[in-house]
Amino acid sequence: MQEPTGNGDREELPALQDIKVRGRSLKAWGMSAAAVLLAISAVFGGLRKAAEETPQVEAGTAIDAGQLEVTIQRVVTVKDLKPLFRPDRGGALIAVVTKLKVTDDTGITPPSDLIRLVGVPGIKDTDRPLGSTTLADATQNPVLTPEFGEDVAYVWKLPKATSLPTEVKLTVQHYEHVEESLLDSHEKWMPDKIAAESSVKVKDNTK
Amino acid sequence: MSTLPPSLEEAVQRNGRQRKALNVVLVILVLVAIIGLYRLTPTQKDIQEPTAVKGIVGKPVKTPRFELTVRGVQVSKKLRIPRAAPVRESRSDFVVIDAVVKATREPLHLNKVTIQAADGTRYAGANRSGLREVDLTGFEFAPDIPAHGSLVVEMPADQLPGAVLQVMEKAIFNDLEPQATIPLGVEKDQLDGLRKDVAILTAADAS
Repeated sequence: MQEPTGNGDREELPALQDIKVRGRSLKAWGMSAAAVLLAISAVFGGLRKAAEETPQVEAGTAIDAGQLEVTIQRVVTVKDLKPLFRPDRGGALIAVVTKLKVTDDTGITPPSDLIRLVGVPGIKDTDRPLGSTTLADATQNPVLTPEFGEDVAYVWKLPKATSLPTEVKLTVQHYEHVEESLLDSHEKWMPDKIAAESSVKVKDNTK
Repeated sequence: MSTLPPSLEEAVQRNGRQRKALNVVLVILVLVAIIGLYRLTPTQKDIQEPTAVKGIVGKPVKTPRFELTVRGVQVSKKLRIPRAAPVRESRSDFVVIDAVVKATREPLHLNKVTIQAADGTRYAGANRSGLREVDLTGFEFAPDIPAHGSLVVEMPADQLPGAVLQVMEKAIFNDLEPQATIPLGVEKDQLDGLRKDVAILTAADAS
């Protein structure tokens, strides 16, 4: 009688969970590898706290921007701010009115990258303002005295074609103090992250 | 095995002790030299800070390119700027410094005015609208023609005791540039005497 051919006499393969490599199960090897990867990533900052979401702040709330304390007071559209700022023909100006207080020990002029308007038609999100001015006496880019708040407006041009916005979203830049390095002892504040975002209703003063 | 005669053995031991003492002295000398050289080596700050040219109130401070004489100080909450209205009001105080400046080599402007308080706070020269047209920072000094006028800094008057006036030709890229450095010599009990209802600014003029 002929023996049946085929795989009948082949040794049955063990189940995956029963496979052992050098006396340890695959699961144990996998967990060890994951632990090693985690340890390596931790060395390069893998366990550091993930960046927090940018806080949403309402107008009137003081925002810590590192070098300054910034309070967004209001946003207005105006026909012009003579003699400092004039819009293009048929256009208008939009001004973000802030209270700025230098919390550092050195008087400065307001940084031009402190405020950015986001999603306003006719203004790119990266557009710098035309400049800043005090409300009290129309001083352009005023010198700020440490620890004394000053009402300062940041001004942008709105082109003619755009309808005036009724609400704007804006961001406030945060600055980080850069320690002296071996090669440079100049004191510096560098922009590092967005300190806060805010949505503010726009008051129309063009009429 | 031959042994050394006692006198020779003593000499060898003495020689060894002297050599050890010399080694200790040399190590100490090298350490002192290393620490001394380390202290004498200029730091980055030393080669980036402006070079202070010190003086006193009432006497000309002679820097290589200009001479500055501080004649007096007045303090007020209000400042009348010639040919500009209205009277400016400060949230802190206007410190108005009466001074005479003379360029010594070629025409120049003084672009950096600072008062450094005793606690290290640095108050920058004011730039209120209309001020630059009449104060000494907006004046071009002709060689050898003294000009009389005012320098204005906004700061709280109670920070004046121990404060130092610092004046430079360049506002930026001024590493190692000469900086006229004049302690204002204001004592706490003199503040009331310096205070005016409205500080009167002397328009800069060649005298």
